[in-house]
Amino acid sequence: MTKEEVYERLNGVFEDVFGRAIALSDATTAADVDGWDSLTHITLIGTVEDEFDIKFPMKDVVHMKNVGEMVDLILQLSE
Amino acid sequence: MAFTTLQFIGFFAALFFAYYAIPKRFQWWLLLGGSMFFYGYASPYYLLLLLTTVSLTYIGAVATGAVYRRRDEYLSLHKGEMSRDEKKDFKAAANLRAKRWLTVTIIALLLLLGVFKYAQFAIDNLIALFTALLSILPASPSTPTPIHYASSLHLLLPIGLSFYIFQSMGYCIDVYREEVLPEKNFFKHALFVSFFPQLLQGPIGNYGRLAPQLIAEHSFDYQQAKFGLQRIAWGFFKKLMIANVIADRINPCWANIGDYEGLFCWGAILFLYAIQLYADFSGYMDIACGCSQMLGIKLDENFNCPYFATSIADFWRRWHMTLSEWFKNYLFYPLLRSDWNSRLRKFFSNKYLSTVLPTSMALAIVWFTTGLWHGASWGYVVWGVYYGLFMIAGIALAPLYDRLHAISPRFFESRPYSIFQMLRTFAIVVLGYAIFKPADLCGTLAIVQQCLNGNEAQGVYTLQYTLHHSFIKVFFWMAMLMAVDIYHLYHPLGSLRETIAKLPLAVRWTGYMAVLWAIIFFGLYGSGFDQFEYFKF
Repeated sequence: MTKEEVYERLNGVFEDVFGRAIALSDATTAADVDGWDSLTHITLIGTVEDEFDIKFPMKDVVHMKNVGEMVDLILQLSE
Repeated sequence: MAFTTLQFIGFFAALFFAYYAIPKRFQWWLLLGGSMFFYGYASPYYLLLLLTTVSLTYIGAVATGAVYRRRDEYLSLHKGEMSRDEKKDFKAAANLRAKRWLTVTIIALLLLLGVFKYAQFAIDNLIALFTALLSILPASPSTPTPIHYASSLHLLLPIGLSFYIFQSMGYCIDVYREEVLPEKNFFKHALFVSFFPQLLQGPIGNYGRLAPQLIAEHSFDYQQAKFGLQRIAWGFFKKLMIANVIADRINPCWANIGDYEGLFCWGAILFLYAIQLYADFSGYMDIACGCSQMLGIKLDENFNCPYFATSIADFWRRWHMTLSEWFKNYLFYPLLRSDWNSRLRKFFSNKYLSTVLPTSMALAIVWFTTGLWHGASWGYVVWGVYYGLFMIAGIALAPLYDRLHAISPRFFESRPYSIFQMLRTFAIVVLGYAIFKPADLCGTLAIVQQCLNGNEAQGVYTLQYTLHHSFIKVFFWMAMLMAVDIYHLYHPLGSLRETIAKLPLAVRWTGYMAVLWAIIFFGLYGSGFDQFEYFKF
């Protein structure tokens, strides 16, 4: 799976969780997206895990800094 | 040793000068010795409990770390020899062993907390239950029963126990999650658990952020020392001039609930208590953070203008932030990611139900525990549940709010609506103190009764008499407190102290002297005024 493919599927996940299309980039953080609080974060993580059939380690769930880190982790865990 | 005593001022001054006078490699030893002296000053019995916690956490964390170390050594030794599945199974087995160590450590720490904090509560409830059951049998009051002996168990709750046990549990979980490596040096580990500024009332430290600072070598930094001292002064101002003065006037209200009548009267008392608690708790944090800053150590912040929060969720992101963070990372997230929660999520085909119900169940557990953390009484549990209900309602009604927001976004994003949200949140918080402060449901019910049945005019008269006309100056100090919060609200990244530092020398020193003399003249200190509200937790 390429990074572009991850982004393509991730866009759909974000739209599903936040109810609107969000322009994602590596640098996108929770502070950039209205409504991305701790509760939405965990819903988002769960939906991403379902979409890619992976399980994020708890330390990454807590400390994930931006979308770029999420994408890297998805690629790493899907290997 | 409380922060607002002469003993502490003398202790800290001596420690501060010694800290920068001795060779830097011994600085952390001095902090450890100072922390042990600080905690053991009141009673060596406290020290024994602290050392038990340190030892339990040390063994648990080092054993967990050893499991991972052996796993990594084995994997590196057999690199290329194991299939992907074999590697996965091996890792899972190691993870299970680490989980066992974590479980044993957490149970041991919870037992320690349970014995000293919750045993009496459990016994009282069991006695109530057995008494109710035995009441159907013929009574024989002259014969002592096990119930008579059990009811006399009154263990002294060591100050700060809940705080340092939670900090220790967080550290063990971080080691288990492989976020940090365990500290192998017992004494360095002991310093992390016992660092004196945060020992009695938090902030609950995160190992990854705090521990490296504690053992680092620090050079004297005039700017940091000055800012630290200013923050300590601000903490003294909050505690001695606001919290203590309000407490001195409204304590009789809590002791004689029946004498104060009417909704307005109790509204005023609860409002004053809200300010008192904030000034008390955040004042302590300012002194803790200020002392640490003078030693070159940055503690996590615990408050961020909480009474300007626009929702209950927002309030808990601003009030006692390190505790909220702890519950989020170590209880709420694991609950939401647990197998039973996932099964529940998948059980409902309806998207709304599959999100709201499992989340609500996790929130209910978190807020029940938050209430219980604050104290061993049903009053605190109800107070936790009170907040839990607001949080659940917030999630359940979110789609409705979103629809309304879509109809009139301009209204919901307007300043008046934002002010309404702040006032609404503050009112909910203030109302919650009617459960929190009495800490027993009878007290809360008595307040409700006094609000509903009381004579308003009589209540106002009694309250005026209790507060006394000189109390008016406290409103001026309260306004100063709120003004500083408003400054921070609009300058989230700015520092008021940096702004002050840019003022002319004469203006700055006039201000410093004014604050110092105001604290000396208007503050309430000395015997009976050195306890902080959160000591009892």
